[in-house]
Amino acid sequence: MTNLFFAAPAGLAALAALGAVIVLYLYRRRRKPLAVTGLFLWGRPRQQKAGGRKRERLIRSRSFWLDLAAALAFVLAAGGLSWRSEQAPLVMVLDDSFAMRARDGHEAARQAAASLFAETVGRGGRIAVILAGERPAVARAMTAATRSEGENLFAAYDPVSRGGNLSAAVALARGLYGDGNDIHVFTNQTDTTSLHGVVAGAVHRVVGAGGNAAFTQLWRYADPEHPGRERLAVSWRNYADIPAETVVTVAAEGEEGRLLHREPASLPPGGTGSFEVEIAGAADAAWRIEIATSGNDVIAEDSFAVLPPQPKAVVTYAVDGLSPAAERSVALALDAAGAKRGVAADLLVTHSDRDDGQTLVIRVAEAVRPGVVTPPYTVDYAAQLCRDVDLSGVAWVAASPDVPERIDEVYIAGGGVPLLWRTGRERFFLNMAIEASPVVNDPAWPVLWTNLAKHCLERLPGLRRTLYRPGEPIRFNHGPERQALQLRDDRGDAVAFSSLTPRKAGAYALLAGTEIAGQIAVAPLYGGASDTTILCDKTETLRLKGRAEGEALALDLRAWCLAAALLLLFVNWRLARADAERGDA
Amino acid sequence: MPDRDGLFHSARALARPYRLAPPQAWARGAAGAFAGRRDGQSVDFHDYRQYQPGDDLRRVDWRAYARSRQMHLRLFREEVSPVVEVHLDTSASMGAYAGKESAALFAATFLAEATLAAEGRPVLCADGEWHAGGAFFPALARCRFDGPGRSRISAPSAGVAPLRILVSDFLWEEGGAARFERDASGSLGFVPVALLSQTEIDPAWRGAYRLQDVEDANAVSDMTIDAAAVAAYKARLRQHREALERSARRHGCGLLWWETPDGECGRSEMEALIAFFVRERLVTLR
Repeated sequence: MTNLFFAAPAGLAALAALGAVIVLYLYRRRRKPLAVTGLFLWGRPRQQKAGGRKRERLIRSRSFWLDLAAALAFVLAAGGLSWRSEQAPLVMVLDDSFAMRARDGHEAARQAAASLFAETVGRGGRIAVILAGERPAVARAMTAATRSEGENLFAAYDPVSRGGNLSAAVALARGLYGDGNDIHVFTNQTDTTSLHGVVAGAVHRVVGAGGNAAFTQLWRYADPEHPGRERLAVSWRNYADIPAETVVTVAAEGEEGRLLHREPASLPPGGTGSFEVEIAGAADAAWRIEIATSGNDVIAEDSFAVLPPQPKAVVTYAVDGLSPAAERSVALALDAAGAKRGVAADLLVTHSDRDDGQTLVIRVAEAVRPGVVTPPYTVDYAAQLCRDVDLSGVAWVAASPDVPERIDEVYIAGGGVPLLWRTGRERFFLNMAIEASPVVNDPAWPVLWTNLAKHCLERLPGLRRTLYRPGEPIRFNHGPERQALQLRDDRGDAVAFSSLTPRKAGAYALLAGTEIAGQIAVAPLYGGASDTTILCDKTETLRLKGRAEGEALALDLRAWCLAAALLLLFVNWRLARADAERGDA
Repeated sequence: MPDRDGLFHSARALARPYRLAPPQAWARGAAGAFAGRRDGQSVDFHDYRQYQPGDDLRRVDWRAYARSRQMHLRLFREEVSPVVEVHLDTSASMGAYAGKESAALFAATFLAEATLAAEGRPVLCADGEWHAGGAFFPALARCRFDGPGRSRISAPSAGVAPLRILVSDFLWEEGGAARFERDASGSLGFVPVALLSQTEIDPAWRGAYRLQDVEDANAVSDMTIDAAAVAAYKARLRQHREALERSARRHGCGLLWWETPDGECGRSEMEALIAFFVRERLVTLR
């Protein structure tokens, strides 16, 4: 591999400029001749004229060399002079698919890559990391030459893509570093036959029998046929591209984890498991349900506490001429009843339905505590907003039952509570306390957000970015008022960004920190984002540029050449000016 | 080129009332118009001194011997006839401006006439040759100011100590001190007269030029002449003049600067130059 190469060899035709400079100096500066006495009084003679020649001989002065060097720098810039390391870097392709997040997945890949890098650094080598997502990408740090740089590079490895296209990533690596370079692929995919004969290096399988299984449905409900008994319906899925041995366990919380049920299943890549079981003896307790894969590796994200079914506490009292005192006493009684059921945090008493003017019907609706909304969800997949949104088994935490009266279209609902809806033409509401909801940690979140952003894209021409990653730092300005961004949670307390995890802060920023905030509002109960004007200061695309972006790995010297040329011209001009000021021609 | 015949005619006419002023010391000669400072053969008694063996007995004061029985010699003041060497710089820089050339020719003619009026002997030293007596003025008329520089300034004579006058522009980059030392040595008086034209003192050019030294075809310099460049030029010229003046003072002579017009000198400029010579006590009225 050569050190220097020209990205645009055709630009070398500009070498003619060097000849032009020489010709210019041969016939340069047709100044008016002036005979003077005592030339030494005008300063040091800069050039000596050869007598007897019609054409002046080439003046090899400082100015000439500077101009020639500037022209040469321009030529090199036009030719696209670039540099790349003579020593081929160790190229690592890390599978960026979400499946790598499975237990030991990305950790194992990170460790294996780090150990390989450590070995390479010991030999004075460098590495380049390419992330194999749906589209290949060069890791942001691009290349690393020291151990700390390598560690930083691997620390940023956080696979979130919906798929890992290893072939494209390898093709990118080969395009960047040539065919003869070793490429190490770290993946948990089983089928790597497409890489055979392509990769000169190694394919590191970083995940064994484990997998990335997640719940797709959790539903605890009262058995209609057997009063007093409850049933649990569970479905889960293996997201990994390798088979997974999974075990779903259901345990009662508060009883030292008494095992209520255990369901093993062998799931092929992409396979789904499900069971429905009747569970007795723990009606009032929350059930903790977990997935274990190949032993005791518990996927923490898919461990949920499933609350007991909420009673239908809608009671209608028909009273005649209810006085305010009676109303208050009824409310207190219901409050006490609710407290007994453990769901009496917020009793909502509404006056409505004055039927005949004589009877006041008081509907006491159970206030679903803003909190967990468990699957199943009602998702309007026909809507563009819900395309590819797979909420899996994630619990929608802190959804509020207090929704506006006007809802024109509901896109996502759960437990009878609208979660994402539209009011008016282009105003969307997300019923979610973002700082508390695990939805933002779910792969469905960036998909949902992307859909929302795309939906608003046409009306926001300045917005180009539509693909976000959870946890990705998002920069934004605070608007003209420069007020500190304050969002309020469901209790009205201010939420400072510093108290949020970067991922949740990013989720906030996604909603509140972009221009789309004007189009998409968090339900007022859960955030004041709609009152804050925040503008994006950066509109960059996260769409991968493939080779174009990868070429940045090779140090592009064009800008340096151009800067050098301009600097040389400036120096030449400055020196000439200084000479003129000194009269030192 | 100036009208030399007219110039010489004017110079002679203007020089009639003047004669060379007696300097502190003149060259010794057999006889002359000025009394020398040394003992000589004139009739002017100067001093006594004791007889020493070998002295001419004809100069013994026998009357004094009769009175005192001591033999003393009577010494008489010498008579000197001034020899004035007019060294004329015929380099091209002297001919670059008609004013300088005509001023140089006028000065040489005027000083020669003044020398003759003082019964002195003018000698022209130009182009490395010596011209005395009747050859002075024909040689002066033949002078061409196109030489390469200092090499055309004649070396001082090794004969009788003369009054030495050097007419030049002194636009030498270096070597002025050595020249002054050489010219001042062996002379009874050395008077350097520097001629500079108005343009040389205050250049009026502005713009981009290719400067070429009139005395060196290979010395070329491209430069843009602006106010800053002119200021730098003047500063160098001032330093150059100061250095020459210091060197002249070190050798006991004063450097006379005379600003000439760029064009040919007219009568008024000639009269001003004469006044300048009078003021500098180089000539005096008869």
